[in-house]
Amino acid sequence: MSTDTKSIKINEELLKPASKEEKTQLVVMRESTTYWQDVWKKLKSNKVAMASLFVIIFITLLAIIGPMLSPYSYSDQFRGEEHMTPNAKHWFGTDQLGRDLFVRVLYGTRISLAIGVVASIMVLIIGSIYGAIAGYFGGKVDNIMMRFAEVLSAVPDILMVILLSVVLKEPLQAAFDSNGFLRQLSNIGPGIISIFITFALLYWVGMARIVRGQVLSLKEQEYVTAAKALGGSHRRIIFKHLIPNSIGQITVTATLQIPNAIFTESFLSFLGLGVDAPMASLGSLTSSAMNGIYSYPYQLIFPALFISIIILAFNLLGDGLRDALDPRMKK
Amino acid sequence: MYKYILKRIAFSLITLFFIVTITFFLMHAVPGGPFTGEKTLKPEILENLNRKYGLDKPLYVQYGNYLLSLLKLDLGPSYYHLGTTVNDIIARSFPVSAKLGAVAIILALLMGIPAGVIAALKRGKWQDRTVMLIATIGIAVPGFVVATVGMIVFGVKLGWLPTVGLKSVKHYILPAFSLAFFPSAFIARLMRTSMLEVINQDYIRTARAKGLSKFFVVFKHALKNSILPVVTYIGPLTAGIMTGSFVVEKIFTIPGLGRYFINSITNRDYSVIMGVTIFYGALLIIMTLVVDIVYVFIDPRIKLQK
Repeated sequence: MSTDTKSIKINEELLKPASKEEKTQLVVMRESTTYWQDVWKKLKSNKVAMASLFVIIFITLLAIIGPMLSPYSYSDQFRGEEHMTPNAKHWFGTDQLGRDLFVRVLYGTRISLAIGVVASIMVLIIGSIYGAIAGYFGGKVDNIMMRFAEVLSAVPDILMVILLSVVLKEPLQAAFDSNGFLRQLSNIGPGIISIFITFALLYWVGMARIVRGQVLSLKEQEYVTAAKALGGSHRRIIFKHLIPNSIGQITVTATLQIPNAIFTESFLSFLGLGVDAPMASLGSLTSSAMNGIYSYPYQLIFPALFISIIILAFNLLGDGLRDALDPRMKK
Repeated sequence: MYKYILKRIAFSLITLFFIVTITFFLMHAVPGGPFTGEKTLKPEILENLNRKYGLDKPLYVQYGNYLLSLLKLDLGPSYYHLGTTVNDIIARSFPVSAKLGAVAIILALLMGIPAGVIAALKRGKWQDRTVMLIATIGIAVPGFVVATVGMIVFGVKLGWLPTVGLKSVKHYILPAFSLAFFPSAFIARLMRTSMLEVINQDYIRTARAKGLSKFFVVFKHALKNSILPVVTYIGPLTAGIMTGSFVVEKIFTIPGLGRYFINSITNRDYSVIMGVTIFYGALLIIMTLVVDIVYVFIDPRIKLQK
C-alpha cells in the first residue's frame, strides 16, 4: 500500500472521451439554422403576424369543419323561419329564404379562401416563371417580355374581369352541361372560373417584375457561373438555382396576393358577377343582405366582418413575412 | 425629357389600342349576339337588325369600322335603349360620376396627407399608432362594407344623412366618404413612409440647424419632397375611385356611369359595355400619362436621368 504513493495517480475520469454535451459546450458557433427556421424564428417574435396566422388557421378550420358539424346545409330552406335574428337555433340568423346564415357564411368563407389561394398559386407559377425567364436571358428577350407585361399592367383589371365574366359565362355553362367530367365544376359556377382566368391572365405582372429583379442580381453570382461551367442547362439553372433563391420574395408576394384576390372576388360577387345562387361567397352574401338592409341589418354584419378580418389577417401576415424574409433587415 | 414624354405618349396609345382590340373581340366572341334575349325575334327582323347595325359583315370589316368610328370619337349606338348612342349615355351620366369622383379624390388627399404627416412627425407616439391602426383597418375593409355600414348607421339608425341620390351637398357626404376611405388609408401609409425618409435627410437637419422653425421646415422643405410618391399614386387612385363607383353608385342609387355600366351588363347591352370599357380605359390611361408628365416637371431628378 505504501508503494502506491510513489506511482503517479491519474484520474481516469479525465481520460474518457468527451461527451456530446461537453463538445457542444466548447463550440463557439451558434447552432446552424436553415433558411426557413430563421424565418420562422423571426416571424415568431412578431406578435401581430403570429396573431394573424392564428386567426387565418382558425378561420380556415372553421370554414372546413363548421359546415360538417352543422345540421343544416347551405341551400336548406326553412319555411316559416325567414329573416330570423341570431338565436340558439340559427347562430347568425336566417336570410329571406329561411336559410341558415351561419352555414352560409362559413361556406362563403370557404369559397373566398379557396379563390384567394388558387389565384395566388396561379400568379405564383406564371409570374415567377415569366419573370425568371425575362431576367435570366436579359437583353432583347427581357425587353420584349417586360414591355408586354407593362402593357398588360396598364389594362384596368376590374374592367377586364367584368368583361371576361360576361363573355365566358355562357360558353362555360354550355361546356359544363355538355361534358360529364366538367359538370363537377359547374357547382363552382362560371363566374368564379372567369375570375380565375382573369387572374391568370393579368395579375402575374407584379410577381413577374419582382422575380425578374431578383434574378437579374442573382444570375451574376458565382454559383450560377459554376452551374453554367458544369454544363447546367438554362432550365436547370432557372428552376434549381434562380427561382429557389428568390423564394423569399415570391412567398411574400404570393401571400399578399391572397387578400387581393379575395377583395376582387367579393367586389364582383357584390355586383352580382361572381358566384351563382344557391352557392354563396362572402361578397354575394353581403350583396343579398343589401336587399333587406333597412329591416334586417344584422344579415350584413357577419359576412362583412368575415371579409374584413380575413383580408386584414392576410395583409398583416404578409407584412410580417416581408420583415422576416427581407435580407436587408437581417441583423 | 421630350423624348421621354413622347415615348410615354406612344406607349399609352399602344395600350389603348390593345384594350380596344381585346374588348372588341371579347364582346364579339359572345355566342348569340346582342339580339338574343328572353324573347326570340323572328329571323327576318333579326336579319334586318343585324344589317342595320352592320353585324352581318365579316368580323374584320366590323373591327375596321369600329376603329374608324372610334377615331371620330363615336362609340356607336346602344342595342338595348333604341335610339340612344353610347356617347349620349356617357354624356348624360359621366358628369355625375366625375363630380362625385373628384370630391372623393380631394377628400382622400385631404384626409390621407395630413394623417401621414402627423404620424411621421410623431413617430411611435399615440398619434402615430392611432393613424396606423385606422390605416391598417382602412386597407382591409372593402368599400362596399364601408358604404353599407355608413348607410345603416348615419342614414337609417341616426337619420342624419340622406342615402339616395345626389341632390344636395349633404347627399355627397356618405358616397364620397365611402369612396375615399380606402385610398386615404393608403395615402396615409405612403405619406408616412416617405416623410420619415425625408426628415432624416441632411438638408432637413441643415435647415433646422439654421434656426428655421420646425413648422417652416416641415411645410417648406419636407412636404414638398415627400409628396412625390402620392403624386404617382394619383393614377391608380383614379382607377380605384372608378371601380369603387360601381358599387357605391349601386348602393346609393346614384345615376352615374358606374351604375349604367353594371346595368348594361345585366341588360346584355354589348355596345354600351364595349364603349364604356374603352372610355374608362382611355380615361385611366390619360390620367396615368398626365401624372407621368407632371412628375417630370415637379421632380428635377428625373429630368437629369432621361
